[in-house]
This record gives sequence, structure tokens and C-alpha cells, in this order.
Amino acid sequence: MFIDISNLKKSYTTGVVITEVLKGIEMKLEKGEIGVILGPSGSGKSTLMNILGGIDRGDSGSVIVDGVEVNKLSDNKLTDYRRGDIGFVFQFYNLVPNLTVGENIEVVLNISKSPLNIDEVLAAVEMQDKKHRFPRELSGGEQQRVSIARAIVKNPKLLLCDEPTGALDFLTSRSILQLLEQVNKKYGTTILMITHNAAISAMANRVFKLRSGEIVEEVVNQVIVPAERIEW
Amino acid sequence: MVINKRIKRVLLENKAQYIGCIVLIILSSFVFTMMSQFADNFERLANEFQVGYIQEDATFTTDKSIDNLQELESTANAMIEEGKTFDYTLSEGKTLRIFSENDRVNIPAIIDGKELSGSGEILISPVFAKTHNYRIGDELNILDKTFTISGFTALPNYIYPLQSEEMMMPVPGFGIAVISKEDFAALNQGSNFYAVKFNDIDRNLRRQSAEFRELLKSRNIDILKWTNIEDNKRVNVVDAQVDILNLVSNGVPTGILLLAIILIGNVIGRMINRESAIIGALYALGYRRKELYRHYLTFPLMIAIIGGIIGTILGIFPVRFMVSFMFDAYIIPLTGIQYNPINIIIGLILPILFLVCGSYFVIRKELKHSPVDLMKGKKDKNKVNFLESGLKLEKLKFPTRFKIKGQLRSLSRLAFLLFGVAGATMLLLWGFTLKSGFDDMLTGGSVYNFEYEYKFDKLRYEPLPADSEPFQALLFLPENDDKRDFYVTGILPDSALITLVDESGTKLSTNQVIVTKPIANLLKLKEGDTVDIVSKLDGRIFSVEIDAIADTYEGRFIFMPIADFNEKFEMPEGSYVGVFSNVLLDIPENQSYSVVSLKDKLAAIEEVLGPTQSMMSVLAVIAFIIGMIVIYLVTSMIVEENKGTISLMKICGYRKKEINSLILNSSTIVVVIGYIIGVPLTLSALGVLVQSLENSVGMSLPPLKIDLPYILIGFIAVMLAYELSKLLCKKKVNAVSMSEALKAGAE
Repeated sequence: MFIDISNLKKSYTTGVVITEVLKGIEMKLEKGEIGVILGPSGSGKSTLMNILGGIDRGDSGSVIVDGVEVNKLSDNKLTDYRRGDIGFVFQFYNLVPNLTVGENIEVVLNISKSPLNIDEVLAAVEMQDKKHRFPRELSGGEQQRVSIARAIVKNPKLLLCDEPTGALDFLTSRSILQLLEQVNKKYGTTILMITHNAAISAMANRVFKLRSGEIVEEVVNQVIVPAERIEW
Repeated sequence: MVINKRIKRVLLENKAQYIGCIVLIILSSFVFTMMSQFADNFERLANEFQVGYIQEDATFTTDKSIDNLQELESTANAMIEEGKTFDYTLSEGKTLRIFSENDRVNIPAIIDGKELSGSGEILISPVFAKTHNYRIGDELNILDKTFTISGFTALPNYIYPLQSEEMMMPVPGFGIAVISKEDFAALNQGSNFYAVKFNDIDRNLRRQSAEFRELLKSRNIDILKWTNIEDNKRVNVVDAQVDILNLVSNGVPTGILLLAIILIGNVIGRMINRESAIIGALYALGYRRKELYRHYLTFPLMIAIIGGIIGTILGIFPVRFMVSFMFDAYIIPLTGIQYNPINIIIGLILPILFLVCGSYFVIRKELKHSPVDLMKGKKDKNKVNFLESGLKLEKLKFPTRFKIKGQLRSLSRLAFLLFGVAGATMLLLWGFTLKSGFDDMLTGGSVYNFEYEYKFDKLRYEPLPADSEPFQALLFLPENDDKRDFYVTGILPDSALITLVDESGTKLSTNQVIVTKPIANLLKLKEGDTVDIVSKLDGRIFSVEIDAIADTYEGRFIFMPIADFNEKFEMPEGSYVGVFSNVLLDIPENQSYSVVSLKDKLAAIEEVLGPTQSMMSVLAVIAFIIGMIVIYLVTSMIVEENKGTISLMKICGYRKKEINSLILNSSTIVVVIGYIIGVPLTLSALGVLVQSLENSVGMSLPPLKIDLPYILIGFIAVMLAYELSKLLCKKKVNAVSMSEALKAGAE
């Protein structure tokens, strides 16, 4: 198993109030698969993804990614893990406004051991002609393409996407999903997406439905729908 | 307005930025109040002394005694008093210039003790007493007569007690003394001179002087030496000093205030930018633009008031200390300190005016947008400025590009950092430049190879011992310039005691007419030029052909062979007025003379070096504080601005060291450029001061320079401030959490 989460628990304390965010999560995903975590606001999706991405730690349980127990890594090792293995795509792109498209990708390229060729990645996201543009000169969809290019240039083992289409219209969203699908196929990258949008789950190998910190349902898709045919 | 309740909270939330602003305002008001009150008191006390003790309008010596002074006074409409003086060496390195007591012109003021009341009493200058540990009641033995010190005195014509007018600073071994006319007569020593004070104070002094000299000439009295008070370096340095103090008291606080404006403009601009949605909402809720202006203007107003009050109060305290410290060099009675209320008000009002006006324009720029635009977040929030988009940096490595772009992101922030560092550099190097000049004076004396310089009141013809050389000297002025005088000096044609070299370093024979650099520059002379010069004594014009230019700034001289000098200026053949010597001369008692030793000159420089080094240390501390504030605030702003990027970098796996390098080190190049800009700016600012000295005193100084070791020390100090600021900001970078990027709103 590429991702193997077992009995993962996480709670936050605010004053005297303790909020249990994750209550014993069990989750598995094979290498090269696309996984989708579906759930309403406050269900714990982002916390789960943060722990998987090495941004946060669980209180108990184990989180194994490609054989590494992420939950037990030291701060330095966790940085190395994020640096080498994880790619992030955010809902609001998080591009650096005063860097050009090319330079935004270089932010990651700069610290990668064996990165992909920047022009090849830009071609893959169909942004090669906009390499010298600044983010404010791009549409939302284009900015998300740059964000994906930035995430995959280091050739990560795991691509974590936090509502990648949450800020986009339908057609643009679909093109982004197609792009993620291509990345998955071309580079064999394992992708885990969190979304509100149930329609997206059709393109995933596995779907995890999360409610109040628990996986209430896990679906293994027998028939995977290509992104271009997804509608909502 | 209820929204004003947040002012205190905002100030507390952003303590570092606002404390930085307040410290800058405090420094500005402090320097302004201290320097302006100091200059005011200095000028007032000097003026009161000069008027109250009837400072001369001119002093002169004549070939014969003037018989009927009373008749001359009424004809010339002036007060004239005859004085007598001679130099007396108490012991090695202790020389007193003793004057007979005047009671009409140049009246001695009593600083401590009591005035002369009988025979055997003496007044001496307080600085001399302090240097040599003399107290009131002590006894001095002068020409075998014992004198008791009855008090300490100041003479209006010896405010800056230079031993000779060619010197730049008083020597510690030299002092002035006053004894009664009767005691002076009994000593049977010294030469006569006259001090004149014209009664018509409204008429031009030079015109009155010229008429008076004509009057004396018409009575067959030849003037041997004439010095108008405005040409008297023992007095006119006071005006130069006041000019410098005024220049500093205006220039430095204005510079600091401009820095504070850029800073507060930046801080408020950013705050409004950050709060644009809230402002839009307040508009929507019915708030008027005027009310929001008032709210945001309260921030600079409070800062200016707090800083202005603290700075002004702090600036008042050191005034008395500074005046009394200054009066160690300038002998003026300290009758009392007065605080000019106008300067106190300016010290308070100026920061308010500067800051509120500066901030008003920033606030107006930010608040001009419509409520809808403000609520949406302004459209130009992520606008890329012309420098960011215009500069072609593709060939540079990514970290370098990232750092440069980080700096170019905000031009006002960049300007603040650049001018802040340049300003701090100027303060720091100011002292170093002075120190470089003094170092040169102490080590660079390669022209004058003698130990003693004797000057006689009357021409001499006697042969001299070995290792001594005679010289002649007369004061001249350039045509159409009555301020910047210089000496034409006759020296031996094969002088061994004066060494002059040209620009290539080749030794020049003194059997020709040679000018020193200050005169060559002043008169725009080249080799082979002929120049007309005006005798200061009688206004006669002479033409002199220049054979060579000596590569030295030591003194304003035209040297020529002494025989040619005597012939050209119609002086008796074989006569001389002074001697350069490496041995002490045995001079008959009836010949009046003064002697200055090279050791005394060096001691004078070292004496001034002490206070200069203290001043340098104070300036260095202020410079360091300003540098720290500026760099820390800019670095904090960069961290604040880049929170999202820092967070993103952390998520992407950047290590702390890498993030610190990209974010905190981005200012390195600007700090270095700021320092480099600061070097010529220091020299230009000091150039203005030197120009003012040249104009008011007629003094000429060598071109300003800063020695390389001092440039390096200054650089290390600035970089140390930079590294400390970075160290403080590291905590801020480390505190940025990865959730910042996750929470980030729409791009």
C-alpha cells in the first residue's frame, strides 16, 4: 500500500474546549491511484490532508506513506519529506504575485534534487507561452495550471490537491481535472484530492466519504469516468 | 468615534513599527532642540560679551606712538585705547600673552574671582588655569615680579585664543593674562598696539576703517599691521561655529524626519491596504470620508506628539552641559542659559507638521477608491511595478532574482531602507572624516621641517645661528575678495627647513615663486601665470609670476626667495620678520616676539582630538540606532509582506536556513548600496560645512577624504546593525505557520 493510515486521531484544544477532528481514520491508497476525499465543511478533510502532507501531526495512530511512518518523523525529516515527496495544489493557487509563471515554478525547482524540465512541465499544463507573465495577468484556471505545474515539477510521489476546482467555473474546473488525470497517467503520480463536489469522485479509483472526523464510507470505483465526461 | 478605540490596540499590536517611528521622531526633536538651543545660547552669550565689554572694531600697530588720542577720537568719532602686550614663557610649554588692562575697548570680563584691584594681581584665562592646574590665589612669577591670580578672565578680542593667526586651533600651553597698566609699565617690556571702536555702529565697518587709516596717514602715522574684527580669526570663528550649529540643527533633524515620514507613510499605507474591506464596510455603514481621514491621521498625530514632546524635553537637558563644554574652547562668560520658546515650539510642531502632511497624502491615495472596490480588495493590490516588470533578470540565478524582486516589490520601502542606511552612514562617517583630517594633520607634516617659528614685532637684521632660517611675510588678498587672505612669504633660496614637492613628488627648488594648493585653487593658477594681489596693509596691488605649484594643502602661501621679496615689496635689504629654527634662539630682552613650536601645534590637534572622539562615539551610537531601526523595520515589513510566500516555502520543504537566506538576506545589496551612497553624501555634506568655514573665517582646508580603514570600520558597523536586525527578524520568520498559505484567500 502506498498510503496506509490506521486509527489516526487528532484533536484541538481551544481554551477549555477540546474538539476531536479525526476519530480513528483508516485509509489505504495504492501507488499511482487517484483518491478523492469527500465531505462537508468541518468534517476533518483538510486536517487529514495536512497530516498526510507533513504540515501537521496526528495525536495517535499511524500514517505510512511509501513505507515511511510520517507521524513519527522529526521536524527536519518532515521538511525533507515535504521537499522530496509531496506536491501541493491549493484552492486559491497561492502563487507568489511578484514572480512570473516561470519563477513561481522555480520556487520549487530551486530546492528539488531531480526536478522535471520546466518547459516540459509548462507544456504539460499548456502554459508554455505564458512563462513570463505575472499571476495577475492570468485567469483563475490558468493560475491553477501554474499551481499544478509548480507542484509536479519536483516529480512528487504524492500530489495533494485541496479543492483544486473550488474557485473555478465548470468548464475551467473540468480542464483542471483533465490535467490532473494526465499528470497521473504521464508521471504515475499518486493523487489525493479533497472536495465538496461529489461529481469529481467519478474519476477516482477510491472515494473516502468523511463526516465528523470519521470515514463513513469507502468506495472503490469499478468504472472510472474520464474527467472530460464528468458533469455537474 | 468608537473606532478610535482601536488606535491603542493597533499601536500595541505593531509595537516595533510604531516604537521605531517614535524613536526617529524623538531623535529628530532631540537633535533639533539641543542644537538650536545650543546655537542660540552660544550666539547670544557671545553677542552679549562682545557688546557689553566693547569689542574692538579693529586693532592696529603703528611705526610711532599716537600722541593726542583724545583729539583723534573726536575727529574719527571713535574710541581708541592703547594696549601693551608681550609673551612670557613661564616654563617649557607654558606661555602667557600678557596684556595691560583696558578700560574702554576690549574690557576684560571676570568669569571667576575678582577684578584687578591693586599692584601684583593678575587675571588669567580659565582654560589655561584648568590645563595647568592654577587656582585663584596662586602666585605666578613674571620677569622676577610675583603676581597673585585674582580671577579668571575673558577678552572680547581673544574669544578663540589662537596663539598666532595662522594656527587653526588653540594650543594647550598658551593662555592670556591681564595685569594693570601700572604693573605693565613697571615691567618695562612689550610692544604697543591700538584697539579702535567706531561710535557709528550703523556705518560699514570697512569704509570706516579705510577712512580712519587715511586719517592716520594724513598725520604721518604709518600703520604696520591692521586687522578688522571681521578678519580676526580669534573672533570670527564664533560666527562660523554658529553657522555650523545652525546647519546641523536644521539638516540632521530634517533628514531624520524625512525618514520618519517615509516609514509612517509606509506603515499607514499598508494598514489601510490591509483594512480596505473594513473601510469599505464602514463607508457602507454610513461613515464619512472625513471621519476616516481623522481616524487614520490620529496615528501619525499621536506618534508625532509623543516623539516631539519626549525629544524636545530630552533636548533641553544637555544644552547647559554643551555650552559649558564649548566654552572650554571659546572663552566667553557663561552668564546664564536661556531657552528660546520659538525653538521649543518648532521642536514640537515640526514633527506634527511633517508627519501629518506626509500621511495625509498617503491616506488620500488609499481612501480615494469606491466602497465597493475597497470591500472587494483593491484591484492594484498585486500590481507589479515598472521596476519589477521592466528589469531583465533572467540570466541571474533564481535566489538572486527572488531577492532583487523582493526588494523592488515596494519602492517606498526600498527608498526608506536606502536613505535610512545612507543617513546612518553619513552620521557614522561624519566623525571618521574629521578623524581622517586630524590624522593627516598629525602625521602629514612633511613641508615644514623646523621645530620653532619665531615672529618679531619689528624687522630684524641680526645674523642667525645654524639650523635657523629667516623669513619675511606680508598678508595679501586676491583682487575683489576681502575675506580669504594669504601670506606671501620670503624664504631662503635653498631652504632646508621648507620642503616643497610638485604633483609628481619631485622636490622644488625654493629659488623661485611657488604657491601652495589652496592658493592655486583659490586664484585658479597654473605654472607661468601672472596674478595681481592686493596688500592687506595698504591696498597696493602687486603682480607676481608663478613658477611652480607645490602639492600641499598645508597653509595658504606664495613662497619666493627672501631677497626678491624685500625688493618687490620695498622692504629693507637683508631684513626679516621671522625665523624658522630647530634651536631656541637667544633674543635680546628688548625685542618683542612670539614663538610657536611644532610640538604645541601637534598638542593642539591632540587636544581637539579628545572631544572629537567623544563626538564620534555619540554620532556612531545614534547612527547605529537609526541603522538598526531602519533595517529592522524594513526586514519586518518584508517578513510581514511575504508571510504567504514563507508559509508556502515551508510547505514546499524549504529549510529554515534557505528561507532566511531568501527573505532576510534580500536587503543585503540595498544596505551595501546605501552605505556606498552614504560615503559621497558625507563628503558633500561636510563640503557644505567647510565652504561655510571658508566663507566666514577665510580658512582653507584640504579636500575632504575618509581613510580606507575608516570606510571599512563604518561598513562593518552598518553590517553589524544589519546582522543584528536579521537575527531579531529570524524569530518572525520562524513564527510564520504553514497554515498561512492554506488559509490564503483568492489571489
